[in-house]
Amino acid sequence: MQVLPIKLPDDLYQDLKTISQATNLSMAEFIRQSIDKPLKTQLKATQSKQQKYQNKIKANLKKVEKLAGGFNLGSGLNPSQMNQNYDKMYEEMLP
Amino acid sequence: MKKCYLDSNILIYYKNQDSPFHSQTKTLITHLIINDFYPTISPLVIGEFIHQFRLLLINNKTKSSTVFINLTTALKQIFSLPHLEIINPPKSLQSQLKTIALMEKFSLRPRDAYHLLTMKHHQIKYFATFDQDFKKVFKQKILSPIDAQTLH
Repeated sequence: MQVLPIKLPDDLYQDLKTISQATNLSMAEFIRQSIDKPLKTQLKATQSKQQKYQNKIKANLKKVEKLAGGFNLGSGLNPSQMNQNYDKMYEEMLP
Repeated sequence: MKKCYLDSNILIYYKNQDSPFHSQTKTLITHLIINDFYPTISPLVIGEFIHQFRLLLINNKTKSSTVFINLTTALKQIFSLPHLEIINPPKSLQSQLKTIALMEKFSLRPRDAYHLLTMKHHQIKYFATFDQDFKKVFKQKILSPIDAQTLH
């Protein structure tokens, strides 16, 4: 069991005290019972969202793998040779 | 959402599996996806890709009747990359003049200055390229270079 120190505004504390006395539950127990269900619902929604995101990433990675390559065109030009090639293209465009 | 501008050399090496840079570019694009980057290109990149890839096809004795079919296939596959976005250069006449200032400031070729203008206009901070001509741009931290190692 973990201890979570929380600060409550005075009016909320008074409300909690009233309910605690009426229900015969300690304040801590009342809070535990109150947050249990919504917390689990929220957790499920968060986990589902995370799972969806992970699945999407996995699908996208498969796509990147599938789309890569597909052409065997020899080693081709290195980046610097490619630049020279573009320069040549520009020169050819000149009158 | 972070955007990374891809140079045409990245796209060419990604599609040509014989290139010594093929596996490096595939890893780079994989890491972009893992790290939530949106790959971004411009019509200028597309034009350069078509030019270089066409030359590659011709130099590899691809039948002239299939060159355009292959070009279309390769381009369609690039357009299918997850989250790919195409951005345009700025429209204003005043912006076009900035190209010359960028050429002068960073010792860039006109084409490269136009890439930089487009990236700056769209506030893109990351650039994936094998081009060494952008050294000054990276050094002055106008853009951050992205490669497979920086993302790993």
